Amino acid sequence: MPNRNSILRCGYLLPRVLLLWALLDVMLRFAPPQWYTFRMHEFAMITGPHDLGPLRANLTYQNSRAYGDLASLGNCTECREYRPMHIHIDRRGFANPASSAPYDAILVGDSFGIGAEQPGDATLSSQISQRTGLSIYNACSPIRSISRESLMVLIDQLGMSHGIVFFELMDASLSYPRTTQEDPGFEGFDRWSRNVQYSPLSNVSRELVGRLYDGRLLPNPYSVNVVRHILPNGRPILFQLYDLRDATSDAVPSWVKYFRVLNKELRQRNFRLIVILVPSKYTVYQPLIKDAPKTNKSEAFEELQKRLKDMPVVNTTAALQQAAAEGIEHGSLLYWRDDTHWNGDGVRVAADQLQVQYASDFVSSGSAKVTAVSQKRPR
Amino acid sequence: MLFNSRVFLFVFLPVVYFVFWRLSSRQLRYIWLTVAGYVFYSFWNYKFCALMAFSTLVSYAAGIGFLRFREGLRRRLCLIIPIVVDLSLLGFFKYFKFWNFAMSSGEWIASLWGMEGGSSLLWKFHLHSLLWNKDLLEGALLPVGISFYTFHTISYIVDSYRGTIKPTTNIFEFACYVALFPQLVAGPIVRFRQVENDLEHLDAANRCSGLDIGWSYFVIGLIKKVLIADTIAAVINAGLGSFSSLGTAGAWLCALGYTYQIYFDFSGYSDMAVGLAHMFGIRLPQNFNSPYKALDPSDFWRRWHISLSTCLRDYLYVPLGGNRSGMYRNLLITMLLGGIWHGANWTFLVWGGYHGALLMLYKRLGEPWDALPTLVRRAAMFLLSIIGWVIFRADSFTMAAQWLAKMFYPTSGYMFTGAVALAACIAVAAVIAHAAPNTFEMSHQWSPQVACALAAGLMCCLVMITGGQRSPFLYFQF
Repeated sequence: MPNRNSILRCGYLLPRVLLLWALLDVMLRFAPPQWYTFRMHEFAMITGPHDLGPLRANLTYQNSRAYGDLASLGNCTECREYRPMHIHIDRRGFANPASSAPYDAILVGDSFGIGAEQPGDATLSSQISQRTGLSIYNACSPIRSISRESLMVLIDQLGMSHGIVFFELMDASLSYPRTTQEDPGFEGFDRWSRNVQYSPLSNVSRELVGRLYDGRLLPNPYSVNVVRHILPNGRPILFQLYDLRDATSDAVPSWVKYFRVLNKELRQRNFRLIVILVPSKYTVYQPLIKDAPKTNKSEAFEELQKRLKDMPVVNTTAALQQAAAEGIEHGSLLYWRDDTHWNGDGVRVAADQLQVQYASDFVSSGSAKVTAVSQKRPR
Repeated sequence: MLFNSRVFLFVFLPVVYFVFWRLSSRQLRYIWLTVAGYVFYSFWNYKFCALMAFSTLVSYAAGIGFLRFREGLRRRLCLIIPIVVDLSLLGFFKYFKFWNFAMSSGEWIASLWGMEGGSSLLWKFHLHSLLWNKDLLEGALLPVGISFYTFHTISYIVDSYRGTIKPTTNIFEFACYVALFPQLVAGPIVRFRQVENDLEHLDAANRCSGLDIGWSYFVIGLIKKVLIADTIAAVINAGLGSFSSLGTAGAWLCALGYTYQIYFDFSGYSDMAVGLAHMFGIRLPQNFNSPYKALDPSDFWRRWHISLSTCLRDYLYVPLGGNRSGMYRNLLITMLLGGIWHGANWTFLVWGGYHGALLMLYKRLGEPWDALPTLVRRAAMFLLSIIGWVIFRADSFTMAAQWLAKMFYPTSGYMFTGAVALAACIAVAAVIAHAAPNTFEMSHQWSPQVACALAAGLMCCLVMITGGQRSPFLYFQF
């Protein structure tokens, strides 16, 4: 029989377990995020700032053993690849080195453009920068690119009077209706409530629970979202189920319309728009996999390129598909084995393609500053 | 808001608890608990708070009417009108889809009315355009917990009419009773007389006396729900997802799994509700008394969802005539309505009918059954309840028939992921359900070692709650 004054009785002990849990959760919010996250992406997006950028401002995320999510989701622990991740989020909430201003160009895009799980010098903006000599501001945002209005505000904030806007468009964007271009950032109460709801301790718990629900001991409810195929070299490769979707019928016309409006607006500001079309992992590897159903996204990209013939468009699909086929022979991939994003090799192929198509433009086009910067900063 | 959610555990409960015990007057405590109940309810759909408030006001007014009109037509109207209102709301929100489906698929209303061909189609079209296509009815059709609070209010009205209780004149006391958050959305179905004394003395409640027992009940319930029921659910839901390829072993595992899942889920919720109420100085009645230890169908219904079965007995079976006249008919009607109370689904109706038939058979063949050894009766009753749960869980009659066929005719098939873990969970659940004392048989005066074990269990639950997908309680849908 417990003593009423004993601390080892339910009425005393159990509420304190809850209190301890809550305190631990609060304390962890002040700890480095790499302690309780496996990569920067989701953490920085949820706890991000209110203004332009989607990510948590003034954050340096350093993780020597970052990894992708598909391996866990798809019950393929042998697919996991650990890699170092070092990324700095600036005061606007975008992934940029501590200081790179003044800028010659802005890269707009999604998580492929941000450089999810890439070291800083392997991101698309860095690779383009290395090839062109341009100083590029990375304004990419997870999930979908920032709105046109936000881009104009950003241009003003950066004090740019002219330059280039690279727009990276992933083919998965063609699979959902592009209605209004909304910022991925959350506003007001929604953001506040998300930040309150965000729990570092939940991340740790998820990791523990994930080990139980691993598809062997207990069923993994998330595995339905991942598709597993075998490459010609016999190794497994994982895809997001979402990547297997076709482009919607109105995707191309709506993006054409969007790019035309954006191009016009940018021209008025002495900016040039260059569109970079990036295929998803599935689009790149599907031709190499026996019996893998084909999507219409390659054709959609071709159609988009054809209809935007009056502006520079770099379609990296063919180059990535070819490089992927060659890489398979050497056992290398252009996309992370355990994630949907491309790795440094994939980024390099895309940047090379851009260089092949438009190298001369960067030194000879109307932008004098670009030329000057290019000469000033040989890489 | 679920009892097993972070917002409930870390925000709602602490705030409600600390403010409640800061308030000294009974009236303020009623108001506070009422406000808390409405806030708790609004987390599902704040619009339906108005529905609950309306139901509360109508029932309260009926109580006042009973105080005013001691006899005669007016008194009877005070009984009939609020019950009709409550049942209409329940019928509309809970069973609308069901009747519409029944009518549109079976065309039986049309044939009943002698309409054929074009007339029948016209009827169906009219019905659809009139009712089904309203935005109001899409998605937001079922206010959570409506079956429970409707029973609360109806039991209050009937008990007041019968003179079993004296209706309260304090609207806050009554609103507090209806909106008492521990039992608001999934029971137990508490009758006013069962908590009247505690409510009347809410200002004299002792915070310390209910704390140990309250937390003990709550955490035991949480462990039953999160660690046992949810683990079983994760496996059998995946297994039943590919039901057609299941073999006999898989079908049995799923049937056994669901049998224990529904018990641990619902009794876990009930324990948590009882524990929470204790923390606020209110004692809720027992809802489960080791039902899988039952020896016969009557015994089962004395042990399973006691608050529902006693309500059905007192407010339906007995008024229908009970054992006095038409016992078999009364049993069947009561159990059919008890089945359909669980939701707008034919399988629930058949499940009710199945249990009604079991009760009828037992009434008829009780003597030879009772002559059997205890162990045999207990095992046979458990088997019968498993068959019932298969009907209850199945999405359709076809599935139920196939599931039972797979169980009783050897069929080869695949074994789903997690079968070993499920078998282990079932073994643990079986020991607890068949051999261990239930929560009301425990003293809850735990030794420090047991208290530490409960703390460890709570930690495990927190990991599962915050790290996994939150699983709603099964009885929220009823």
